[in-house]
Amino acid sequence: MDWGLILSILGGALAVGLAGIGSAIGVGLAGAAANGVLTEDPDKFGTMLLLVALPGTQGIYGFLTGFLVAIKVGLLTGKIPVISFSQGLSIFFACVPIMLAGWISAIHQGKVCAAGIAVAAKKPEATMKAMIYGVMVETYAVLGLLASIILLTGIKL
Amino acid sequence: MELREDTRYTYAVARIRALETRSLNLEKIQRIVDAGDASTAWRETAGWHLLPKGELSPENTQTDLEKFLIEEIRCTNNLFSSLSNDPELTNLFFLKYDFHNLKILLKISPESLDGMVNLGLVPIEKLKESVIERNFRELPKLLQESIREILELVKIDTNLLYGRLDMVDIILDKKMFDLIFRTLKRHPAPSCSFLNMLFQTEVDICNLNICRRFKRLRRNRDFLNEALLPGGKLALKFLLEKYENNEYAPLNEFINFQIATFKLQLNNLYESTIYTAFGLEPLVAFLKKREKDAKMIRMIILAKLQGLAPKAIWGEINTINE
Repeated sequence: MDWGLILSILGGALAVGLAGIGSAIGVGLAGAAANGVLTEDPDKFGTMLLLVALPGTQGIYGFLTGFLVAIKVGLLTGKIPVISFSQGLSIFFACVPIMLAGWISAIHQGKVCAAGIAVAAKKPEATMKAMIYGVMVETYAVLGLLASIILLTGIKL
Repeated sequence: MELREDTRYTYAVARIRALETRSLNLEKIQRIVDAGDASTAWRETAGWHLLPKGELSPENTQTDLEKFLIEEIRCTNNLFSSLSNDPELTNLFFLKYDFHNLKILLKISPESLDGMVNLGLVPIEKLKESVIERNFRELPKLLQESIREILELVKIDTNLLYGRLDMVDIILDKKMFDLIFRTLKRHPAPSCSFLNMLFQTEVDICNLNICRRFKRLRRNRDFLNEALLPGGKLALKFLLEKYENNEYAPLNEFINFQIATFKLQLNNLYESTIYTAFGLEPLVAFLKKREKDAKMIRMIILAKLQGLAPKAIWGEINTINE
């Protein structure tokens, strides 16, 4: 196994891992808040669900990037091309946008959603407004994913 | 206010926000005040209760009311404690009951339990036993040392105390706030700055009330100096000068204005907690709101029992809100 392949796999693995960690923390925060509301008002489950699920998307973006890397280096077909050190490094750096944006944005989105859940508990009519703030954080995870996809597509093996 | 997030309180704050929808608002208060009689007024409080709402019996309305409201406050306190990740901080809010009970034990009689409130950290029977037997090993650590010191002070000053019973109040209040500020100083929780502001304002209100009482009783400046509590925002030197240089009427006017200002500050402090998404602050504001609501319900229903007109009741409500 050469360094090019190792760096590529490391990039994909960290994209999945870090974005996944961020999502787990984010969903954890929003889930704890939702449970607090459900203790007093179980009928609000539906309203809370979307706000709890929102920080989970970064984990999916990270996984998608990891999957694209696996296709790129031929891990799924078993036809692994020769990957030079610089190509491997390029793939690693192509994963960095979603790695970092996914990780950090998921935690902050979790906080925004948890605060939004508290808003929805007190003023149900403001639920959509609270959700919009959560979605605004999502923008940066989507931009990270797009950057990673564009960069990965641009790398020729 | 320092902006730091305490995400340990995510669950607690969300639950409190859900519970806040049950608090009394102007519309609900209006309905209770407009109710025809005490039992209808009590029925109008439905939804406010954390416990299943009991019915007031026509023969023992006042006793039942007191019993139900005490149980509600106990339930709120238990919820507050259970949601807290910093029991050392939440216990500070129950100290007032223990110190109130101690005042009664030391001033009136260690044998009687009349006037004592069983909402503190220590059950009143246990507190009574500890004071009589001078054995504090079973009390919470937070209280052990303080009670021992208080009893020493009271023992030393016994002769003094016979003539000035309010000295017991002063010693105990000083000890309580000293305990509170020492706990806040060493605790690392981000909510400590909020709690500091809260207790500082309470100290200021206490000091202003002491000034008023002492002026009425024509006590001298030295005694006041001994009695004033440290830790507030108002400089003690300033208070002493005001006390010395003014007669009762202008001093009372100054105190009324200052107390109204501090109460407004307290209200603003509680209202500011709506902007805290993670922290102990919303829990504290909820606890205080429940205490205020209970006081208001009690006042309205007692007023109904005495046949007061809604207009007169509103006047009383305004004094609670001030």
